[in-house]
Amino acid sequence: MIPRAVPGLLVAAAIVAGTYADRPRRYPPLTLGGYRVLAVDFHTHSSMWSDGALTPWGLVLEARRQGLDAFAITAHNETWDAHVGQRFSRMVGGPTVLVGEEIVRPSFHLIAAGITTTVSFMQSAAGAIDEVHRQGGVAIAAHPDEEFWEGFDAPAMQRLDGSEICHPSVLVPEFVLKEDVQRTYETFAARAPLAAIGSSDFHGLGPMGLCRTYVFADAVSEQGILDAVRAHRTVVYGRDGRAYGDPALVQLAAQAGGLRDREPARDTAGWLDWVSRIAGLLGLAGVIARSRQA
Amino acid sequence: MSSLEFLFVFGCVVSMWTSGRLSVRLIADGMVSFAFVPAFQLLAFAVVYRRAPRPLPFGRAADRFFAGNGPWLWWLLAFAALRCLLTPLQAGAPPELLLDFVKATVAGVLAWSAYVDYRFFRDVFSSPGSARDLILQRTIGLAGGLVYFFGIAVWPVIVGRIVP
Repeated sequence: MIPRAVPGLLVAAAIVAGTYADRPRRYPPLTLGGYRVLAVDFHTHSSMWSDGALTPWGLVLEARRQGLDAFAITAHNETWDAHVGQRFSRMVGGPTVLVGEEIVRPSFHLIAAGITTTVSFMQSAAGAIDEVHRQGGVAIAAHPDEEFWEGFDAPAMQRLDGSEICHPSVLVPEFVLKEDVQRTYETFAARAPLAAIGSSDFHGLGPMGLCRTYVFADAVSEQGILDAVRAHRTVVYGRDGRAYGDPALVQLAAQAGGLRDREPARDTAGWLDWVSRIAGLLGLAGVIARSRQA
Repeated sequence: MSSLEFLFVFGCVVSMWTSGRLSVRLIADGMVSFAFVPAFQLLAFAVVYRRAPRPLPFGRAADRFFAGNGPWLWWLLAFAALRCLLTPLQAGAPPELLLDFVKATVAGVLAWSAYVDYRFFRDVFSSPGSARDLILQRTIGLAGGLVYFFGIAVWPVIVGRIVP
């Protein structure tokens, strides 16, 4: 017979190990070519009516954990949770939070970042982009799969500021999704001069900032980030580490090295993670089995 | 207590899927994020309780009802274990494997938990309409939870298809 306390102790040990491994890491600021290089995730979802798994304040803490300097909270067709996240981050001195929205229509998905109020989805992509610009934000084509190309007509392409070139779906082996997603996004981006954007489309599965944008900003501020995107001063790493973005900045980043050191590990887990997993699963199984017997 | 246990397991699943480990920060955040699940369950149970003969005080009846969540707890644990098989990259990629897991298992868990709850309504409430109670509880609980979680994401798609 296993003593009654064992499952609970296993869960506690799992949480201690996991919490220790979860401690925030500190990164020195990076300056290249006179610009501050900022790691930004432009596409995240919270659990407050945006089918994510973390609260807006949870996103702020997770962004800090993942070494992001800034991120946009982009709920589907609303901005309420982004305002909550922005306020919380300012209170705790967290990363810069851009108020954002994923403007969703059957014909297109559009990221608005740096806006102030919700942009209506009941309009064309070009109309939505104009509204984003009126509010001082930038407009980015979200995961531009072929089904959304029709929505991004010529007027929309002329107005767009950027396009997601790295999204978790490009990192999936081709046989899983049965298409070369990276190539699809490259083809879309070739339709207009656009800033290269990497976003994790984070819903709570896997690490936030798995795909991210390195923004070469004049200033460490929301305005600095938005201006850099408008000027296409971005570098993004896609599948197999291929770099996209401003060629001069790509070269500068390659010469300097170390740009990707703060990215979350893609292929490995640490030993503390494994302790936490195994102890946690065994402990939880014991707790569940015990409580069903009671 | 049973509803807290249920919520704690939810928090553990969120922590596991987000980071591949259990941490206080992510468990607590997952518990807040998914508090709507037991909340809708409780609301649905309260509706059924009002119509039933009420052999137990509400608090005790609800606790016993939540104790019947065993099938879902085991399912959530399997869900968390699935994450251990994946690299961070695979976990963050479009959730094909996860969807396959849900499709392959959810019908069985729904049926198993429905049977457990049917027995609860039949044996504890001694209700002549146990099946009706079960359907009512499930309709309110599941529909409420799904609309809360996916509603805002889905309705523009529906409206967008109706209004060009």
